[in-house]
Amino acid sequence: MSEPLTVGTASFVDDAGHLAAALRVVPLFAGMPDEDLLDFASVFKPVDLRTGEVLWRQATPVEGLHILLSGEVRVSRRLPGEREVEIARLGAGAVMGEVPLLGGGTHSATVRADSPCSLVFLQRKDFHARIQSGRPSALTLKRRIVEITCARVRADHASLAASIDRDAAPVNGNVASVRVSCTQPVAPPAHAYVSRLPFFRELGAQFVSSLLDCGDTLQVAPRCVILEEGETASHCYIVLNGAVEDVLRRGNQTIRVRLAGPGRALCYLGLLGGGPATATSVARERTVVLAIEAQDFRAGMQGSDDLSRAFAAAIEYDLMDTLRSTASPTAHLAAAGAR
Amino acid sequence: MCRVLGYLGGPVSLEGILYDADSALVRQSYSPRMMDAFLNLAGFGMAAWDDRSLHVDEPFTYRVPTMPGFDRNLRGISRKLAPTCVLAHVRGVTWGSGEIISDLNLHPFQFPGAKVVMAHNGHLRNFGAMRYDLLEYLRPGLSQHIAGTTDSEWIYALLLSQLDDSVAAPDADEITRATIRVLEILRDVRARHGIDTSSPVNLFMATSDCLVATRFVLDYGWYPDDDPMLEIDVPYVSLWYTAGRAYADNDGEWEMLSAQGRPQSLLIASEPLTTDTSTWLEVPEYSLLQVSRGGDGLHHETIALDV
Repeated sequence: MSEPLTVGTASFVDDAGHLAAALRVVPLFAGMPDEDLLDFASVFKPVDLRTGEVLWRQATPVEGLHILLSGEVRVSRRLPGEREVEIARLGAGAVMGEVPLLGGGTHSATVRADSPCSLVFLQRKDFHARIQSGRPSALTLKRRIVEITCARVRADHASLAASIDRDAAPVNGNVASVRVSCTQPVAPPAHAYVSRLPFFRELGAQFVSSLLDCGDTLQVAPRCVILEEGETASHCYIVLNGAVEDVLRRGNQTIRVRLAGPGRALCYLGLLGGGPATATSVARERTVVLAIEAQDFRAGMQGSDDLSRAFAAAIEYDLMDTLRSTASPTAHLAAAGAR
Repeated sequence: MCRVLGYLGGPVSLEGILYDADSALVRQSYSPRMMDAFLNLAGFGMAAWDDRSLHVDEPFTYRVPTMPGFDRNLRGISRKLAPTCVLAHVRGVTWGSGEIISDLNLHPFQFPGAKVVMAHNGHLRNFGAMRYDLLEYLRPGLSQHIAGTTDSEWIYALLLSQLDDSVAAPDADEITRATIRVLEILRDVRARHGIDTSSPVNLFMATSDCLVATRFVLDYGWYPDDDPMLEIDVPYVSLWYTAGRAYADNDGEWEMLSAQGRPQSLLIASEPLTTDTSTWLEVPEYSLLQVSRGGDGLHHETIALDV
């Protein structure tokens, strides 16, 4: 069993200063200024578990983030057709639920105490209230969670690609000429329609026109490759009509990791966290996309004006949806494609 | 948007899958978990097979244009039956005087003498403009059996017309080939009429020995600018399944028990029958799930559709 972050529980939780000191050694909070740590410590709530007690069950709604101060927990997951399978044991210092702290959703596993445990708990509503009020501590934590999420999507893609064929290289075509010839500029759809799509609902109706003006609206032919796995993205795209699928291709096998319909964004993972594309984005239907250049994307993610903050929030919401899509258990398609 | 349920395997409690699971089909008629603002109040239909019954290859059918939650007869019958194959459907329609609530419009459809039944979750936009162009693809004599007003019944007639023999019992492979041909025909006829707006076509076909279901949308992602149901239509129409040894009440929780080797039971549904979806798999978009009985259990595969 790992060493507890603190000795005893209630006294340390009651003392924000001691709790802030404990947070300093947790990687998610490492390097944060003392005033930020104290700010978080002031809203953490204590949680004590007896041996065998369940912290949360798989598929229940996420309420926040937990940090294990002392004790040990067992993480297990129910899989299709199987009973519970243990996937991890965690000790002091473990952080649980950091991605859903931002994106919500349901728990992907059950957590049960293997010994008496003490934890601290940060509620989503408290975290989001701090984001809304622009507290630097919350914005820093949010940035770190986004980085963690990007890393998990990349890891999931790598794992899925290895499951197809561990030794095969990505299948790429001669995409440059194909790409130029299969897109053409078009007028965007009606504002009233666009504002009802998921991304733009998150953005806010008052910002729809401004965002449409930021980019170029393109019609993309079916089967047109928008971004190849391994390439560096030059744009972020938001689907307005039609659908784009993110696929992993190895040999003659393909796995779809995500279908992006109207109101979903794509090709931005590399723009957020750096690195090449980890999947190929190809139009499944005739599709209309809003193409936002990389520099405008980065300006939107880093800006402090209202449009930028709304844009960043909409991208983060989409990123959480991307992680859920990638992680959700989906039946594998039969090999050799369609009959 | 309708909710549909298919089952193939050993005897299963009909009451369990229709009523007792915490998101069972009857509950989905008034409280679906995967549709935000649509209720399925336009009736209930079911075809069920029991290999211990008389006329084994003919289903027991039950259809009422009323809400199944208030149907005492259905509840009473469900408590007594443990079928080995089921296709059940709760019908959803939009509000408005243009909708026809009738037992002629209930799914699953079964023409006289046919061994395969079909239910549909979805709708073909602007169907009125293309309906009669489908006649050229129907086997002579089948169109006279279309008694209702739905696009679904026409799709069923199309499906039977693609089979080698519309009254024989096809195997899963033949149903799959016929289904793909149906989707191709629908796409061609739509194109002829310039219909290019999103139309979900989740089809569920069943005989006593097989189930075939599609998760498919024609022209996904294209909607009329003034679509009043846009928020419901934008997500890709859902389809889930779970497979294992048996679907049963296990310490108060309905779940698919794990199997050694091939599964013995399989459920397909528009949405899982339980709040806990951890033992269910999503059928991929643009694909077809084919399930059939074999000597060693059920054979199932998911096939990509490139229509």
